[in-house]
Amino acid sequence: MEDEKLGRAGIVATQVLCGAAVVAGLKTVPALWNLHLITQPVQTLQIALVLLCFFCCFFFFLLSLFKKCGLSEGLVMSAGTVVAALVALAFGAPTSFEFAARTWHWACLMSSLTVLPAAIMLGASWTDWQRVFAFTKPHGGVELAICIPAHGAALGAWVGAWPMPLDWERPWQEWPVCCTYGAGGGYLLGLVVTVILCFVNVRNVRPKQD
Amino acid sequence: MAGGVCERVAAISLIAVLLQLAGLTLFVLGFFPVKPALMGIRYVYMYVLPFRLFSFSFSHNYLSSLFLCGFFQEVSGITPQYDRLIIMVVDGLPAEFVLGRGGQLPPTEMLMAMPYTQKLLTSGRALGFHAKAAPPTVTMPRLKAMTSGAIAGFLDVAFNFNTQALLGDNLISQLARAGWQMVMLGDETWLRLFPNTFMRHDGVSSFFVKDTVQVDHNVSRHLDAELAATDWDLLVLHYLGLDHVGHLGGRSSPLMPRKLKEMDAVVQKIHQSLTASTASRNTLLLVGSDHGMTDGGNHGGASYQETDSLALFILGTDKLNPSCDLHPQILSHNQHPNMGFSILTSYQVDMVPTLALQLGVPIPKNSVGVMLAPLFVTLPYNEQLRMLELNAWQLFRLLQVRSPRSLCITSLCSAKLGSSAHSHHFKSAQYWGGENEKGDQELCALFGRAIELHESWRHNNFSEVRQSEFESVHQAYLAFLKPASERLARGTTEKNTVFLISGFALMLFSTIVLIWTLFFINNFMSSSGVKELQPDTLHPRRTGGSASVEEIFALGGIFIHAFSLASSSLVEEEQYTWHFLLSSLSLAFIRQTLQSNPSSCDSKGQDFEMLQPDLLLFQGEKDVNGLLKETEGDGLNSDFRTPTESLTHTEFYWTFTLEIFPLLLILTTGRLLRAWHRSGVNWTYLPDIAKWLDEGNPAISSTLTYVSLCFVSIVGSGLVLFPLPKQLLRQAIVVCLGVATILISLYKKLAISGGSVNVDNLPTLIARVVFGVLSFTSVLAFVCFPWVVPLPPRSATAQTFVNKTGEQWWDAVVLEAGVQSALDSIGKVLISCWCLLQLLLQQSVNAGPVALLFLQLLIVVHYLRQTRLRHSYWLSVLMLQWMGASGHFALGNSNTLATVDVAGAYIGLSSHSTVLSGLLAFIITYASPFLFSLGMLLWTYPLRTKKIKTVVGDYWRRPNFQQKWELEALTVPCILPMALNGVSLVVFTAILVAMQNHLFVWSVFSPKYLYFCAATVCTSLGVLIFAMTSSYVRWVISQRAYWLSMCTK
Repeated sequence: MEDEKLGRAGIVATQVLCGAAVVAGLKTVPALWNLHLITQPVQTLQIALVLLCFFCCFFFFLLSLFKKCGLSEGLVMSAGTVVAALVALAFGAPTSFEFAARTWHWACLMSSLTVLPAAIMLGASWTDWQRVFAFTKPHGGVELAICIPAHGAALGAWVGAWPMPLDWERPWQEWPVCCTYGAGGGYLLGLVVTVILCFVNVRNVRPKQD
Repeated sequence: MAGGVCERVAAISLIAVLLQLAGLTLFVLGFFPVKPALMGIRYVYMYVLPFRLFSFSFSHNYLSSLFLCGFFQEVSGITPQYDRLIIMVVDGLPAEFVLGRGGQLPPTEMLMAMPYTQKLLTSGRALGFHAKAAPPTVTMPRLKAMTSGAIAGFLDVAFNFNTQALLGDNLISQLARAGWQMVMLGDETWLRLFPNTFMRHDGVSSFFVKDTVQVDHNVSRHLDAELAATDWDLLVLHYLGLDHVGHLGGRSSPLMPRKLKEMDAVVQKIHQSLTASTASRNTLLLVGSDHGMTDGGNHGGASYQETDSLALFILGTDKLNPSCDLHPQILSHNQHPNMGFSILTSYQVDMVPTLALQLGVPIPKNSVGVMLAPLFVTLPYNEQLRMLELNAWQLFRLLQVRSPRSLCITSLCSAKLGSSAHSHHFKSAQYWGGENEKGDQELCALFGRAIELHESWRHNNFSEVRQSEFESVHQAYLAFLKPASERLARGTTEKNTVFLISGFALMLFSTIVLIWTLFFINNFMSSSGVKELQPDTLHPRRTGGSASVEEIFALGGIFIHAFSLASSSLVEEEQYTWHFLLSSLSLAFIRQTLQSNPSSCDSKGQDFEMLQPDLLLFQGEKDVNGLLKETEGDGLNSDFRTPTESLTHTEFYWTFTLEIFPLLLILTTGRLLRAWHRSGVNWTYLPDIAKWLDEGNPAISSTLTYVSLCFVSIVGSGLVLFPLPKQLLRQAIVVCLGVATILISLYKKLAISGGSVNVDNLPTLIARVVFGVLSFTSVLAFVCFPWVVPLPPRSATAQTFVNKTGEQWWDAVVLEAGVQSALDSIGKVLISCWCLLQLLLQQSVNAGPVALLFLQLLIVVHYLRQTRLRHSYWLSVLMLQWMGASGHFALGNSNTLATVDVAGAYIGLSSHSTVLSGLLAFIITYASPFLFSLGMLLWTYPLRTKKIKTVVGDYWRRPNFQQKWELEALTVPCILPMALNGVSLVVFTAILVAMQNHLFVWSVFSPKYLYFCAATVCTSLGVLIFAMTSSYVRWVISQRAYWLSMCTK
C-alpha cells in the first residue's frame, strides 16, 4: 500500500515533468536560440530530444527503483526509432534525401515518447510489452503512465498528418512539423488522462490479482 | 425457415442496388441540368430592344441570302470589316507557347520555333489573346463554344465521344445562311457538328492518337489549291498533330518544337498568299486553339495550363484599312515592358460576338461572349457603340431567359415598354432579396445606365466626335457586358429540386436497407451459434460482442473518408487519404498479429481450420471412410472442444512470421504504388517513379514492361495449374494465357518500335486477337470449371451415415467444397485475364503498378485466408475494397477528368465508336477496383493445412451451416461493397448539395461526382459478376451432387 501511494505520487510527478519537458523541448528552449520547429525542424527536434531523453531517463529511473530495471534501453530505443521511421515511410513520408534527417529526428522523438519509458520500465519482457502495446491493457499505475501517453503520441501524430494534403500552403504543413505538433499534443493529452485516471479511478489502476 | 433466408436477402439487396442506381441517375439529372437556352436562329430580333421581343414576327426562311446580308447591314447600321475568314485551329496549343505567361516571353525553343508568328505579333499585324476556355477542356465542347459562344452544361463531357450536329444558333450556320461558301480541312469533328455545311472537306480522325505526322499532312496537302481558289468565303483548318504530340510526350516533348515550326510555316504560307493575292477581298485570319494542355500533355480539367487557349487575330491582310495605325493605340494601353507586343486576356467565347460583328452577321443567340473591343478601335465611334449596344442587348435577352422570375428584369422590361423612366422601378424592386436577385439587380442597373448614356450621347452630338463622352459610354457598356458574361458563363441555373430530393432519398433508403441487411446477416449468424464455434488458431477468442480495434478503425475509416470529401483539397488529393487509411488498417492488423501468444494456443490446435476441400478431394475413399467413422465417434461426445496436439514453439514462430510477412509486404508494395504516380493536383510537379521512367532510359521502362508481363503470366498460369495440373481444361487455359502473353509482348514491341510513325493495321489486329483470346478464356473458365471441379467422393458415405443428419451433412460438405473450389479456380483465371488485358491497354509506365497490384491482391487474399477465422467477413471485404480504391490512384488516376487515359481507349479499334472507346476508357480507369472485386472470388477458399481431423467434427456440429455459409460467404461480398459505396455516395451527395455555391463546385466536386457515378457502376458490375458466378456455380454443383447421390443409390 505504501508502495502504491509512493508510486502514484511519483507517477503524477513524472507525468507533469515529462509534459513540461515536451513543451520546453519543442517550444521554449529552441526559442532561446531563435529556433522554430517550422523553420529549423531538425535542430529543434534535436533540442527536444536531448531534453526529453534526459527527463524521461531521470524520472523513470527514479520510478523504476521500485520496480524492475531494464538495461537495454538504448538498444530498444534505436530499434524503436527504426520502426518509427519505417512506419513513417510506409505512411507516405517523403523518401528524398533532403527529408531523411527530418524523418530520422521525428522518429527519434516518437521513439523517446513511446518506447523509451517502456524500455526503462519493462525491460526485455515480451509479455509485458505485448500487454501494454498490443493489447493496451496496462497493469498498475506505472504501466498506465507508459501506455496512455505513448498511445496518445502515436494517435496524435496520426491525426496530425491529416492537414498535410490541404492546399493552405502554410509552412507548418511540411513534413514533419504538424506530425510533431500532433504527437506532442497527443502526448500531453495522454499525460492529463493518466493523471486523471490515477486519481479518479484508483481501483482499476491497481494491478489485478489474477 | 430454412429455405428462404438466402433468397430473401438476395432479393432485398438486389432491389436496394437497383434503387441506388435509380437514385443516382435521378440526382445526376437534377443536379447537372441542361442550361436553358434560346431556341432557333436569330434574325432581326437582334436589332430591336430586348423588351419588344416579339414585336417582329415575320419569317425569313424564304428570303434570299443576298437580301439577308443587305438587310442585316441596313438594320444593324454596321458595315462588315471582312468578307472572308480563315479559321486555323491548332488543337491543344497553349497560348503560353506563343504569347508567354505573366509578362514573360515564351521559352526560347518555342520562340525559335515560331519566328513568323512572333514577327507578326511584334510588328503589330497580329493581335493575340489568352482566351480562357471553360472546362471541360476537350475538343468537342470547345468547338461548340467557339462557334456558338455558349458554355455547355457540365454533363456535356460525358457526351464528348458522341459528337452530334450542333443545332443551336451558331456562327457557322449564320454565315451559311448569309450565303457563305465553306471549306473544311482537318478534324472531322467539324463535319459532325455541321453536317452538309461545307462544300469541300477532307476530314481527318482524331482517332489515332499515336500518329503525329500524317494527320497534319492530310490537312496541309490541300492548302496550296485552296489558297489559290477563290470560291470559298470561310476556310476552316483544324490541325490535330500538336495535341497528339502532347498526349504522347507532354509539353516538353522533343517533337513539340518541330510541330510548332510546322504550324508556323502554315501561318506564314497563308499570310503571305493573302498579302500577295490581288483579289479585293478583306480576309481575316484567326489562329486559335480549342484548349491547352498540362505538362503531361493531358487536358480536360480546369487548371490554368489546360484552359489557356489561344486566339490570334491576324489583321495584316486588311488592305482597305491597314491596321498599322491600329496597333499603337492598343499598344499604348496594354503593352508589357518585357515584350514586343501587348498581352490581352479574354474568354474563349468572346471570339464569337467579335467575329459575328466583324463579319456582319447577327450574334448567335446563346453566346455569352463579349466583343473584343481592342479589335474595333479603328472604327468610327458610333459604329463601335452600336456594336456594344447590340452585344449588350443580346446578353440581356439571355439573362432574361436564364432568370425568368427575376423581378428587376421584368420590371425593367415593363418600364421600357411603358416609359423611359425606369430608374424608379429599379428602386421599388430592390427589397426583393435573394443572392441571384441581387446580382440581377446590379446587372439591370448597369444595363440601364449604359443604355441611357448611349441614348443621351446619340441625342446630343450624334455627328460630333467627342472623345471623353464616347469613353464614358464605352466604359458603361463594358461595365455591363463583363459581369453579365461572367454571370451567364457561370451558369447559376435552377436545379430540378424534385429530382434532387427524390434521388437523394432513394440513395439514402437503399443504403439503409443494405446496411440493415448486413446487420441481419450478422445477427442471424451469431444467434444460431456459429460464431462461438469458430475457433481461433493463435488467439484467444474475444468474449462477448465487443468489437476489435481493427473493426472500430475500419468503421471509423469509412466515415473519415466520406467526410474528408467535404474538403476540396482532400478531394483533389484523395490518393493520400486512401493510402493513409490502408496503411493504418494494415498496421492495426499487425498489432493484432502481435497479440498472438505461444502459450495461449496450447489448448487449441491449428487443425480447427475449416473445411479443406483439396484434401477431401485427394483423400482416397478409404481414408475418408475411416475419417468419418472417427469423427462420428467424436461427435457423440458432448464436449465441443476436441483436445488436439499443441503447437510447438517453432511452429508458433513460423506461423507468426507467415502472418506478419504478408502485412509487411502489403505495406511495402502499397508505398511503392503510392510513389509510382504523384497524382492529385497540387504536387504533380514533384518527381515520381512514372516520371523517372518516362525521362530515363527507355530500356529500363521496356524491360519493366516485359518483366511485369512475364510475372503476371507465369504466376497466373501457376495459379491456374495449382493444385490440379493434370486437368485438360486447366492446360487449355494456360495455353490461352500464354498465347495472349506472347501477343501482348508483340504488340508492345511494335508500339515501342513504331513510335509516332504511320498507323499500322497489325497492332490493331493483334489487340483484337488478344481481346478475343482473353474473353474466350474467361468465358471458358466461367462455364466449364463448375462441371469439372472434382467433388469429394461420396459413394462410401452412404454406408457410413445411416441417419438422415449424416446425409444432409455430407451434401453440404460436397456443396461447400465444390463451390469454393470452383469459385477459386474461376477467380484465378479472371484476375489473370484482367491483368493481362490491363497490361495491353494501360500506358507502358503502368505495367509495373499492374503487376504490383496483382501481387498485392494475391498477398492479401493469402493473408485473409490464413486469418479468416479471426476477422469478420466484412472486414476482409472492406480491406479488398480499400486496396482497390488505393490502387485506383496508383495507376495515375485522379479526381480531375484530365487523367482519363484517352490514348488507350482506341487500342484495337479501327473506327470511331462511342460505346467501345467509352468502354475501353472505363476498363482502363477502373482497372484496380475491378481487379479487387474479382479478387473476392478467391478469398472464400480456405488455406491448405496438413491436419484435417477436426474439420469434419466442426461441420458435424454446426446446425444449418450450409445456409449460413451461403449467407456469409456468398452474399456479404455482394452487399458490403454496395453498402460501402452507398455510404460514401450519400455523404458526398449531401456534400455536393451543400457546396453548390462553392467556388470549386464545377472544377473539383462535380468531376469527383462523375467519378463516383462511374465507381458505382464499377462496383455494381463487380458485384454482379460475383453474384452471377456464385449462383451459377452453386447451381451446377448442387446438380452434380444430386446426380452423384442418385448414382450411388
